This record gives sequence, structure tokens and C-alpha cells, in this order.
Amino acid sequence: MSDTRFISFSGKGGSGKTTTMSLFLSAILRRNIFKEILVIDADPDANLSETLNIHVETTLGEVLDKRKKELEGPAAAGTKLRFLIWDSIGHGNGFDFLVMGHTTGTGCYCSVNSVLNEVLVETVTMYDLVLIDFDAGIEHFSRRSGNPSDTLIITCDPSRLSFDTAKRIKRLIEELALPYERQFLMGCRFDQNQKALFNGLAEEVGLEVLGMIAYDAEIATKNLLGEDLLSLTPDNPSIKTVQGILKQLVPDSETI
Amino acid sequence: MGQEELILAAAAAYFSGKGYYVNTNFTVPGTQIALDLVAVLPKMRELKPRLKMGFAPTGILVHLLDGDWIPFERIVDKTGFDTNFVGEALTEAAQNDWVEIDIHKEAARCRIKNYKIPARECVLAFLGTQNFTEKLDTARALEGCYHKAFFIFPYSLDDRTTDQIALMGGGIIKYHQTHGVFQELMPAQTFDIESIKRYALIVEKVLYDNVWVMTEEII
Ligand SMILES: Nc1ncnc2c1ncn2[C@@H]1O[C@H](COP(=O)(O)OP(=O)(O)OP(=O)(O)O)[C@@H](O)[C@H]1O
Ligand SMILES: [Mg+2]
Repeated sequence: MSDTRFISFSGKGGSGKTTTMSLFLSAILRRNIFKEILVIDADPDANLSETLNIHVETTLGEVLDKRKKELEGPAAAGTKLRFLIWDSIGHGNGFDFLVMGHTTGTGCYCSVNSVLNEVLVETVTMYDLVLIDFDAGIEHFSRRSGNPSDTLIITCDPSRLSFDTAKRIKRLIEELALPYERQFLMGCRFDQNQKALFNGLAEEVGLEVLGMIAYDAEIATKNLLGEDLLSLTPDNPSIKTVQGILKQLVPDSETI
Repeated sequence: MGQEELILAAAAAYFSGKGYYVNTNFTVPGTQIALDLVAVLPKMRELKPRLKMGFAPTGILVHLLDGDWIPFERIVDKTGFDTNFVGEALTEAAQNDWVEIDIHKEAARCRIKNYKIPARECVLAFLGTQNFTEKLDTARALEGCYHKAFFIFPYSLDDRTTDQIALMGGGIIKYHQTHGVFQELMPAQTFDIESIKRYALIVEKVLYDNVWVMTEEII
């Protein structure tokens, strides 16, 4: 039966998670290999809307706040949480997206959270591919079961700290037995000449290297101008790199 | 509950646990064709508008699926329903943005607007323990209206039965009642959807029924 494939991104703050994920989405859309794609922004400081050129109407956090308040009121009327969650899913050009955000109320979110988990598990099965942009803490998003193609990509920028964070994430996955069958390290914003150095540091972390995206002026400029990363020029070197990686990660034989 | 019903209930739980929207003892709309179990994976993008706009009146819309303007009389003929009923349904469908109606010199014609099938996958499952040959024929007859068909047995099969199922492209699932385990012993072939109309009728009905059940949720 059709399985949903997960590719998640984690790493130190500012190390390039959102950029890398956007490049992956762009490469995936260009190759047209998955029909139903969901992008989840699980970083409380979400900035996906810029890199993907989408308009986020509401976050899951806001929806949970709203429903919790309603349920605490005298008459628990209003739209059921499941449908509010559905509503919070936005539709981009060729992909859907969901921004987690965060809740702001106090008190117990147990009941709404349990429905949220239930609905999220059901929702992701509606998709062929789910891309998740995490902050450095991936433990909030435990799933029921792992699947052999579940992939976690940890991004590292040219800073010692990002490799320490990568080590911590790797340890966390082992301690919590999180269901990421495949884990990789990915370099971001390095200089081409630092390849050997990056590979050496990656070896210390003990994770397989997926590749390295060099510093890219077009990406930096787009960021400064507030432009999205789905419209990079076709011969952009970073897109080319990611396209190559994607071929490895999702060979033609595994596409739909 | 008889043995058959027990297995069917367990199978429904098995599929719905995987995220499928399930109907058991399903009759294909507009026919007498009975299916033990239909499991549909929805598409979020198409499912959501159905909550807002109301589900599409599929029994009528399927006759517009070819995409062009169709005279009102022809739609009435094709559906076999009463003229008033079809008129009302189409008016409502136009209000909900499913179709457009064009009236010219008292003759009305309709065209489907932005209808897309709201499913990612449709799976049929049959209990192989009863009326096996008939069910095999049904699966064959419906080819092109579903993606995969499975036959469920609570015991191991002989080669002949296995071959018969393999020949029609079906898969085999063995049910271990003591453990509540469904084992996919033989994968099913994935068929292309060729009969869009019937496919639409099946999946719309299953999704509609399931969303209705969801509205009973409290939180
Ligand atoms: N290959 C690259 N070339 C040039 N600039 C890059 C590259 N990768 C990332 N950047 C820039 O680095 C900054 C941080 O990248 P990004 O936002 O992707 O990191 P992040 O890990 O998602 O950050 P946060 O933890 O804040 O969510 C951004 O300004 C981005 O434009
Ligand atoms: Mg980010």
C-alpha cells in the first residue's frame, strides 16, 4: 500500500534548514516525482512563507488556542478541531503546507493535543511526500512508526557549534529511538575549498555526508530582497547540487 | 457476530488505522454491485472544499465529467431522475460552484467547473471465504474503477485459488484472528483508473459517509 515518505531537516539555528528544504522542494517540483506533497514548518519562528512564496493564514498553534478557548466556554459550539486543522493547511503551487507555530494560552492542552496528534497522523497519510523543517529539537514530533525511507537531514554551517548540535541531535535520536531510518549531514554556506574540512568534521559526528551546498550569492541576494527560492535560475549551482542528491535519495525506481 | 462479520470489522479497523476512509458492505452507487470493503485515501486539497461547498452531487456530476456543455435534457435522461430533482440539484451545484449553467432561449445547458476527484487511492477488499468466484468476477468487472483489490482469508490458500487471484491482479491478505494481524502475502497489482465516472461515484460516497462520522467528534 502506498507509504508516505518523510524527509525532515534539523540543525543549529541559522545553519540553513529552511534554505536547504526549500531547495529540495524546488528540485522535487522540477523533477515532478511526487504528486501530493505536504511541507510542514515545525519551527516556532517560522520563516517558510518567504522562501516558498506562500501566504500563511493561520498556524496550528492559533487553531489550538482558538478551539481550547471555545471548549472552555459555556457552550462548546464551533468548528471541530479536526476541521480547523484541515483549514490551517494552505495550498501552494504544487504543494500544501502547514505551519505549526506555537500556542500562547496557559493551562492544559492535553485534550486538544491528543486530537492534534491523531489528526496529524491521518493527515500525513494523504500525501506521497512530507517535508519537515524543524528547529534543533526534533523530539516534539514523534511518529507512530518508522519507515525505511524516513530521512533526517541535519544541516551544518561553517561553525564548530553546528557540528556540536549535530552530535546532540544524533544522540537524541538514539536515546529516544526516534524513527529516522536514514540520517545524513549536509553542509551549507561552506566555501568550495572547505570540502575536506567539512568531511573531516562530519566523520567526527559519525553521520554519513549527503553533500555540501556552497555559499551561493543568488540565495543570499534573494534572502536580502525577501524573494522566494522556488524561482532560482535553472542553472543555479545549489539547485544542481540538490538535484544530484535527490537522485541518490529518491532514485527513479522509487518515484511515483 | 458471525465469523465473516468479525473479519470484516477487523479489516475495516486495519484499513482505517492506516489512514483510509472505509465503508463496509458497500453498494456501488447506481448499481447492484456489492463490495465487502472499500478503502479510500483522500486528497486534502479536494476534501476540504467539500466541507465548505457541500459534497458534489456526484450522481449528476458524473454525467458532466467529459468536460463540455451538456444540454439539461440530456442530463435528465442520463441520470434517469425526475426533471425537477435534477434541476434543483444542478441549481444548488451551481451555487456551490461545482457547475456553471448557461441559459439561452429557454434551453439550459451545464458544464462542470472545477471538479477533481478527491482521492489519492481506492482499494477494494473482499472476504475470500464466501462467494469467492462471484467476488473474483466483481473485482474483474470493476477493473479501471479502483487501484488495488485484495482478498482476505483467515487461512492459507491452495495454489489454484492463489493463481486465480494472481491472474486478475489481486493481492492476498491472510488474517490471523488470534493476533489481530493482517499479513499481506501477495501484493496487489496497481491498476490505472479508466472509468473515471464510476471511480468518482465510489470515492465520493465513501468520503462523504466518513466525513459525516467525523462531525460527531466532540473536540
Ligand atoms: N548556501 C547558501 N548560500 C548563501 N546563503 C545561505 C545559504 N544557505 C543559507 N543561507 C542564508 O543563511 C541564513 C540562514 O539560513 P536558513 O534560514 O535557511 O537557516 P535555518 O537553519 O532555517 O535558520 P533558523 O534556525 O533561524 O530557522 C539565511 O539568511 C540564508 O539566506
Ligand atoms: Mg528556518
